[in-house]
Amino acid sequence: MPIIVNLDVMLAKRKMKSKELAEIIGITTANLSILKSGKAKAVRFSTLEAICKALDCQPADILEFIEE
Amino acid sequence: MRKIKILNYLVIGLLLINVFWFIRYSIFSFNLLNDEELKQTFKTSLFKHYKFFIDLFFKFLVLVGIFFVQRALNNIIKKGAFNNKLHLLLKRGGLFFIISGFFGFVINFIIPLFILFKRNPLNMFIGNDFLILIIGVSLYYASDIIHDGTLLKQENDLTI
Repeated sequence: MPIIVNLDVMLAKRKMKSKELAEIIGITTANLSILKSGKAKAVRFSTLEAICKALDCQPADILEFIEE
Repeated sequence: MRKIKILNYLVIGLLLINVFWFIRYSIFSFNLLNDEELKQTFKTSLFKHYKFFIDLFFKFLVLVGIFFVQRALNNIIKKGAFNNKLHLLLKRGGLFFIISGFFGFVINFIIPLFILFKRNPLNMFIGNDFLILIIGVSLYYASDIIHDGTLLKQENDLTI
């Protein structure tokens, strides 16, 4: 998929663990892992909002479009 | 889920009745091979006394079809209505019903009526084979709907 999820990079920048982020935004670590690995088919605006709030970033910092 | 369990018990009952009937019919058909008097009775018919073995084969296909439907119901009870295996089980069950219903319909209705011109259509009973054919096509169609539903569920599950 040409949409790349850079959640790993943002987590490293904020020095936050996946488990912590999952707890803050209220999703399971399994679902966060699906999102991180790029297996997710879609992201809800509410989830994106919670991630941006927790990591203090913009959606563009997490999602990136790369042409195939 | 309770309704599915009741349906599952009904299908198990149907399967057992059919297995019992199939064994009885097999014994009857094989006994027929040694009965010259009965063989003479069917001498004029198209398939002679082998018609019983042809029927036996189609009944066996129906039996296998019912077995697949029972497995599909078991699958729904264990894993829920939308999973990867369910549509395959229903499709296979449907195919067995279609083959049995179609060829049974051709042999019992089309050939005697349109090829041999031996029978009065008003005296013929087409119910069972045609019903099996319709059930088979319905199962085949239902399997496609379930496949689409499974894909939708997977997408929904992967929406975070």
